[in-house]
Amino acid sequence: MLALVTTLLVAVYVFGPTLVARRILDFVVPRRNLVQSKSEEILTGVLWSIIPLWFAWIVRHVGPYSLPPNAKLDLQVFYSGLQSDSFFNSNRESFFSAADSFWQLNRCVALRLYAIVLILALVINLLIASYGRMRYWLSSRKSLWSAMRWVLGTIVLPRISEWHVILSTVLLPTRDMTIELDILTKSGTLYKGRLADKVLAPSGDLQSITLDNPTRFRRDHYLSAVNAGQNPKPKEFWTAIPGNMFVVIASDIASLNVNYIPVVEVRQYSRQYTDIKQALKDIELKIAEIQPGRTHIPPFSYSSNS
Amino acid sequence: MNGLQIERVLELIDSNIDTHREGLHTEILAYLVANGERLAREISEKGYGEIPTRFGLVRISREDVEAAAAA
Repeated sequence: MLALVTTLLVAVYVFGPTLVARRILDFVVPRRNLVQSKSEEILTGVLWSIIPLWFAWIVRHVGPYSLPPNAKLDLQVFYSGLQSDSFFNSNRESFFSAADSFWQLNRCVALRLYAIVLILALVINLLIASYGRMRYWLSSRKSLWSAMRWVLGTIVLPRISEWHVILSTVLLPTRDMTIELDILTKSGTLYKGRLADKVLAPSGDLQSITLDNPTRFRRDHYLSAVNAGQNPKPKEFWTAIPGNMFVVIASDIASLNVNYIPVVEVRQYSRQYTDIKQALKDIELKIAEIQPGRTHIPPFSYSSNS
Repeated sequence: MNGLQIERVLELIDSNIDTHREGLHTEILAYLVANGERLAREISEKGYGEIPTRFGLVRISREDVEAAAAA
């Protein structure tokens, strides 16, 4: 019975918090390594149980389901009853009373422990989700803020798969971005396309890449044209691959050229670059010349001197 | 990779984004200047025009032009 209770307590206080934290943390980014070594598993388990457990113990008297009175004494009676049959037989009533106190004690600590684990995991998720923007904001600041950036980088980044950092926009200041890939396979074929998806192995390694609107470079035709002295333009030798989704297995990839392309909104560019704004103003004038009856009404603005 | 190494990768990604943003800026500006007449005609006829770039077509609407003129 003692072994059963101890096993249950280990599951609740050591494995449970780690499991809950992992499930929540996996919502935002894939972990660097799904399969951990024994020592890593133990270290993670200890970190996710000891620190929240310490906090839970500090706040044991705060809020509902707080620590019952005489918990220490009841705990001694409960464990003595579990350990010794003679003690159990002679103190049956006080054992069951202590068992109720034992349940209340564990309910108090476990509720607080899991609430803290939940909050910590959500905070880390929030930090990961907004890391790109925070990093961008911190990069323009000096001294203490750069230390903050280092702290964030140390806490947030190591748990993320490297391939997810490279092949996603999750850590970038803006998600309005597409990722264009040039993939050279080991057989010498060059593919180009927009990243649609990727599959990561449990070890965190890249397994496959799916391209949207894929094209293939007809290298043989290009080389024939070069040899024939035709001075060909490489752009003309890209041919579309039928079907939208093209999967390249990672083991076939020799090299990968990754381009992060910001999604262009002309209005945003006109705010950012005065030369584009001026060019658009010229176009507006040309439109007015083409459509003489059309007058542009500037946006309503209100100013008051009162 | 540890946090500092990933941070270095992110810096490389930042410079990659800046390069493409500048490249697109140059391409769009060159097209607006060289094909202003054509774009103005397209926009007045269809309500929008299209600017070809290395990474596909960028749509420019009448509202975009009006917003720039009003700013």
